[in-house]
Amino acid sequence: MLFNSYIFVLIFLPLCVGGYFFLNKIKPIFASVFLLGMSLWFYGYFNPKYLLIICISIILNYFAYILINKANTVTRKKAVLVTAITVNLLLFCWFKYMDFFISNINAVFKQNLPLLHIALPLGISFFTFQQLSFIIDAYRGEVGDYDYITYACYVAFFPQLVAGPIVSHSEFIPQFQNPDNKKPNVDNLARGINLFALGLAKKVLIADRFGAAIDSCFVLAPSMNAPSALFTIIGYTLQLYFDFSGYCDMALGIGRMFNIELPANFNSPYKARDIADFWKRWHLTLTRFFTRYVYIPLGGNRKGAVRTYVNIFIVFFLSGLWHGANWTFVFWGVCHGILLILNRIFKKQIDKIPSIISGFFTFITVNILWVFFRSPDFGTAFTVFKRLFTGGFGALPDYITEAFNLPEINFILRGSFANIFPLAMTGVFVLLALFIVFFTRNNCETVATKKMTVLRAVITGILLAWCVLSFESVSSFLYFNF
Amino acid sequence: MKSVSKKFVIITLSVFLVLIIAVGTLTAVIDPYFHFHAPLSVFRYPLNNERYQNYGIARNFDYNAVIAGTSMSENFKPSEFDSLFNVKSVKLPFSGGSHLEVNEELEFAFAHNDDITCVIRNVDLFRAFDNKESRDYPLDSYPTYLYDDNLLNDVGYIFNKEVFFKATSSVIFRTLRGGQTDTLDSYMNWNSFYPFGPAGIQQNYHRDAVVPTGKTVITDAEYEDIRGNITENIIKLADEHPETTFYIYVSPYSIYFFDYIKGLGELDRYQNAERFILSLLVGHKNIRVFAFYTEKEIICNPYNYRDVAHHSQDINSQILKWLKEGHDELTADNYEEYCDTVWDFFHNYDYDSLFASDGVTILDPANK
Repeated sequence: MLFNSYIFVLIFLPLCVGGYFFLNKIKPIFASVFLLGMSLWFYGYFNPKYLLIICISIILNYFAYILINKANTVTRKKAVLVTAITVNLLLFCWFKYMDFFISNINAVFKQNLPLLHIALPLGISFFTFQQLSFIIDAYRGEVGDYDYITYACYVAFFPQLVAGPIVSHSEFIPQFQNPDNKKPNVDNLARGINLFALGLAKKVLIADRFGAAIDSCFVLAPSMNAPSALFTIIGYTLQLYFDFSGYCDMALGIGRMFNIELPANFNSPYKARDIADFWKRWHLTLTRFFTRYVYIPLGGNRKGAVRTYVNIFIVFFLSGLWHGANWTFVFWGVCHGILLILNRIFKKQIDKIPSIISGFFTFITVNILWVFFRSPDFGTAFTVFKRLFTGGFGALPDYITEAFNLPEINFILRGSFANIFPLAMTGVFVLLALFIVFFTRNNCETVATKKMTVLRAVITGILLAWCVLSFESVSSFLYFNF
Repeated sequence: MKSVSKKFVIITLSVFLVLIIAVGTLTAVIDPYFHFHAPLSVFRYPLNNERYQNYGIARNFDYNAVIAGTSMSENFKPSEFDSLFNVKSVKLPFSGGSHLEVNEELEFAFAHNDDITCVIRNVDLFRAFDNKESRDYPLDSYPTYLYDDNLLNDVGYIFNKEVFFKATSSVIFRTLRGGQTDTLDSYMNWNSFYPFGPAGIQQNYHRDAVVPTGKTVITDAEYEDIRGNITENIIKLADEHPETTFYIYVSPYSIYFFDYIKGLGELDRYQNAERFILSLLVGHKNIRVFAFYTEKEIICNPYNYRDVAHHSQDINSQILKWLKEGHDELTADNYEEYCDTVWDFFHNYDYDSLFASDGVTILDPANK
């Protein structure tokens, strides 16, 4: 199921929140089972076969947790840990990387092995890493006594199941088990609804507009002009942020409605002054996972400068690979790793550069690397950059400007400026999005600090309605003549 | 704090519900796509969006005959069909529609109307090599919530700002301005929007850009594709409704189309495809098959066409008369002779005579 869908906003969410607190009044275990059931319905909505995988994953990991707790020697504990990590990673790698692995074998050894076309279960990257953190913490003795239903609710909690944040058990379970949180809290409901609406607006009203244009841009890269190439680079940077952070805002907002404070995943990343700062603001819970479970166990920065750089490189290599089964993702991750290393080496000099200048160059660098992240292959990425210099000047094409040709604004202007309207709206969207990322508070800050005024409530209601009314559009069926 | 938050929640949800219910109610009541009911007499409706309105017309209008097909059938006038055939018809064309898409719509019409006595449907040679699953557009671009009887997914229709601002508001504005509901004659009719004649055809036909495809024969797999497409997406429906007469005709493209496929090196392919398609269609009790390529005066006159294929509404009117008269009807006994005659003509035609000395500029026969 998607957050930005009629069934979620109009049926699932009210039913889930209402049912959860109602059943908590009767007996908390009923509410927990209900929440687990609803989370699994959310997960399996598009493809019930996915349910089998997540249920097996939850059962195996909980079983490993019991075995670790029951093991009376360190050796036995370690054996269970290693087995559990291996099984998790094998399952993860099988679904995510098998075809990537086969393609590389074919390329290197000039073979023609058939691809398996294994469908990637939704959210497997997230729930695998979430459970890995749990199992490793259990081995370290950092996990309390949790029953199966509580554990399953922690893993399958629908707000963070499909696209994060990667939540630590110590963040979720104590809140979940706290009896005070089993009763509805109207302050949390208010701020939760506010944050959800703002996140939904980021996704539906901003990210999806860019997305509609960007998809065509990457397909048509070889023929685009220079302004289109520039739009592609900046547009994807904006699309990705508004989409991913909007989703996380929604997750946090929904969590709040359930009286669960989920960890923030973004902190205005495009305001970063340098690459190190960027990674303290972008996908925070993934950075936290790699820091806790890869970087620190490898020695972190405690084993000399060279080892530190190697550790950073390994973490970002893995991070790139985690994002997708393609060398473009690995390249993206490795580039960030190298830049972080350089940032560390030249920290003194970089710190002397005025923030506005270093921030500008950081933003440009991040923009450039996102092109590799998005491109299906290196050729497409290089084509986009090449067209920036060789594409020539010209108007932005319809496939870009039509994405911003909002019917509601068109309706208000009623034919005025009809010719320049789509282009003007494109400009407005890009400038507005840049203004938001550079100069405004992010949604988490806003919801935490702003007063819950009547005006704010009206705006939230309007935003929610505007988003819901944007879930479906009217397609154009262009007829391709001879 | 709690009272402030409570007020916030109440106001937010109230504003949200009021807005979506207001928009939803207006769209549901006015129903610009006729999903719930036929046009209400108090409103005036534009008819201008076939993939959004065809199914509504099929579901809720009063009719016992249908004109269906592709852009070639958009210029038919149901009023002419009605007076010639003594029926009450609707027009349900899909520009760029595959046989599958048109068939799905007709199946829907039959499922919601027991009285259909007559269907007119064009077959495009341009689609000769489609298979039974062919569509021109991605599946997720269709408003499938309008194509079924599931009320739950109608949220995509009524809670849709684009429908509201483009369609619902158009009805309101047209009504307030004292306009009229569009007629089915004018529905999707493009006749006045394009220039006909050599200049019109020239805009889209660049003879020098046509290169041979290298395909000269139809493979066995392609024959199976054609068979599957015609059988599943045309014949099957006729077999399921033996009480209905299906008039299936091959759209008369211009002579410039045949110059085009000759340039592709595919004259034989199209010849064999048409022959095969006709062989599948003729001989069915309730399918009457027509093809008009023997009408040289029509197909060789560029002023009947806006491009190599699309003829004017006058030709649509003529086709209706011919269908009524049984003129150029093909049967199991004569279709082979028809194919021999017309393809002999297309193979031997002096296409260069249609063009100026540069071989590209289309000559105006009026200046010859």
